[in-house]
Amino acid sequence: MKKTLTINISGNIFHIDEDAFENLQNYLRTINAHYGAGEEGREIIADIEARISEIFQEKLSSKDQVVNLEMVDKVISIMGKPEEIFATDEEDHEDGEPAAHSVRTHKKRRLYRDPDHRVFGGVSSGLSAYFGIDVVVIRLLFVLFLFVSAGFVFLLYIILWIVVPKAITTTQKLEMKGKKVNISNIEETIKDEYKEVKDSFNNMRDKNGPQVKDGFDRAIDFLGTALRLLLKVVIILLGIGFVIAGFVSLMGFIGSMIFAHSFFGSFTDFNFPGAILPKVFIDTTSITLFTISTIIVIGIPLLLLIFAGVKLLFRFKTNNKIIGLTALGIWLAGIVLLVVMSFSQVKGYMYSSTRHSDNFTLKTFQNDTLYLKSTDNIDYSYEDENIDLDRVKIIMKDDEEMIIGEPTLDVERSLSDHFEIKVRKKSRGRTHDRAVENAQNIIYKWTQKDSLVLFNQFFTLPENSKWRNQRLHITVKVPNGKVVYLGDSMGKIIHDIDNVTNTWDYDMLDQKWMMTKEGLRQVK
Amino acid sequence: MKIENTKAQMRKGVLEYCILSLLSRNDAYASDIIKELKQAKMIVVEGTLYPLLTRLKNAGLLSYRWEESKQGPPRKYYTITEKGNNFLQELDHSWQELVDAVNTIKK
Repeated sequence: MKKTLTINISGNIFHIDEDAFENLQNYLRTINAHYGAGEEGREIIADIEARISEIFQEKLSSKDQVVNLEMVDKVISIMGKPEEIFATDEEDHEDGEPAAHSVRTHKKRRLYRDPDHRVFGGVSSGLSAYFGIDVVVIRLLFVLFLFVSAGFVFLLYIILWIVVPKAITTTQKLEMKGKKVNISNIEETIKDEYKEVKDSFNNMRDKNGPQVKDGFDRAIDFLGTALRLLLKVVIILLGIGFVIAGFVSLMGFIGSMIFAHSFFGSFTDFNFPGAILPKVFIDTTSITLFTISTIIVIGIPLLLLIFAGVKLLFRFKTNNKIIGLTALGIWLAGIVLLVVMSFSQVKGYMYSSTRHSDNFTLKTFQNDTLYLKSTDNIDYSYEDENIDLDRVKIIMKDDEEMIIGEPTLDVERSLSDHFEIKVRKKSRGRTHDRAVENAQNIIYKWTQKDSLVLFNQFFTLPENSKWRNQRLHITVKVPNGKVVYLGDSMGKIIHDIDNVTNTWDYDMLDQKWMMTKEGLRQVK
Repeated sequence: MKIENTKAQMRKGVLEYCILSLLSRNDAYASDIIKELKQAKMIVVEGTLYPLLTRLKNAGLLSYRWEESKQGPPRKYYTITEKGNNFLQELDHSWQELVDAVNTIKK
C-alpha cells in the first residue's frame, strides 16, 4: 500500500506516489534554484514543467493511473539531470563575454549544514565542507574550545545550527562543496578584482586622448570596480568587527549576569554605580526572572549583531524574515517580562507602615542640660559610596553591599517633666504585615551616658534586605525650662528643628537651646 | 581532453543555428522542435532546450504565441522573427564558410 498525492503540473492533474513526488519536487527545486526567481527563470521552469506534464500524459494509459518512481526517473532521464542541463547552459551564457564570470558565481561555495554527515545539526560537517578541512579537526576544535571558552562555543554552535540552512537539494549540496573559499581564495578574488581595477585603469590611460568619451566610460568602469573592491574589503572588515564586538559584549554581559552577583559584578574592576541595583531592590525569587529577561532584552540585539557579522563573512542563504520576527518576538517577550516584573516590584512598596516603636524616658542626670552628639558608626569613605538615594545609601563594605540610612532628628516639647526620646521606624512592603516587619528590621542604636546622648549617624538593615523606603525619625523631647545642646556632629542628622528665632539647622549647632513656652530659644 | 566534451561543444555551437533553421521552415511546438533535434541527434537531454529557447526569445530572434491543444492546456507555438531571419542568414553564411574551411584543410 502506498500513499499518493494529487498534483497539478502545468494545468494537468496527476496522481503520484509519495516517493515519486519527492524525487520530482527535488528535481524541480534544483532547477528552480539554479535559474532563480527572475522573469527568465520562471519562464524556463514553466516550459520544463509543461514538457514534464506532456510526457506524463503520453506515458499514462488512463487518467486514473498513478505516476510512480520509475516514471519520474524516466522523465528526469529524458529532460536531463540538473548537472547535464546546467553544464551546457553555463557556456551558453557567453554573449561575447568570457564565461568565467558565470561559472565562478555558480560554483562559489556556500555555507550549509551537511545532513549526510551530521552528528548533531551538521554544523561541523558543513564547516568542514566550506573550509575544506577534515571534519575531525573541526569537531576536535569545537570540543576543545567548549572547555576553554566556558560554553560560549556551545552558544556559537546553536546560533549556526539555527541560522545556517541545511543542504537539501542537489544544487545546495553542490554549492556546499563548490569552489573553495579559504584565505588564499579570498586573496585570489581580491587579486582578481585588483587586476581588473588595474586593467581598466591602464586601458583608460591608453585610450585617453582621442576617444574622450570612451575614456570617460572607462573611468566610470574603473571607479565602479574600485568601489566594488573597496566595498568588499569593508564588508569583510565589518563582518569581522561585528562578530568580535558581538561576542565580546555577549560574553562579558552573560558572564557577569551568571557568574557575578549582578550586571557588571566582579568581572570588572571599576565600580559601576548600577552594578548592585537589582540585588538591592528586587526580591530574591524575582531576581532570576529579572536576570533572564535582562539577558533577553540586551542579548538578542547582540546575537543579531553576531548574525549580521557571520552573514557578511560567509555566504549562506537564510530566511531573514523568520529570524527577524523570532528575534523581535523573543525580545518583546523580554520587554514585557521586565515591565510585568517592574509592576510586581512596585507592589512591594504598596503598603506603608509606621511603627511607633520606642519611647524612652532618659535616666535622670545632675544638671539641666542634655548634650546631643552623633557618632559615625559606619566606617565608610566617599570612594566606597555607590548610590545615594535621598537619605539612604548603598555602600560596599568588605565586598558586601550594605544599605544604610540617615535618620532625621527633631527637637520637641516634652509633655512630661523628663527628657524623652522617641524613635519612629517606617517602611513600605507588599502587605501591611510585611511593611511592619520591614520597619521592625531597621537596626538603630543610641546610648546615654549621664547628660550625653550619642546617636549613631546611620541606621542599618539586616543582610540581604531590600530597599523598601525605610525611614527612621528621632524626636528628642525636652521638658519646659530644660536645655539641650546640639553638638557639631549633629549637623548630619538634625532636620528642620522648630525654634522661636527661625534659625536654620546648621546655625543651631554648637549652641544651647532652652525649651520655653514659645518654643526653643537660644541660651546666650 | 575527452572526446565527449569536444563533441558536446561542437553540438552546442550549432544548436542555435539548427533551432533557427528548423523554425524558418515552419512554426513549431517545443515538443516538435525536440523531436526533430533528437532525430538529428543534436540533443541528448531535453532540459537543455528550454533555457536556450527562452534566451533566443529574449534576444528577439524568436517569438511565440499560445495555441489551444486537443489534450490539455494551451501550448507555446514558436515563430522565427524578422530579426531571427536576418540572424539566420548570417549564420548560414558563416556556416558555409566553416564547412569550406574544414574541407579545405581536410583535403
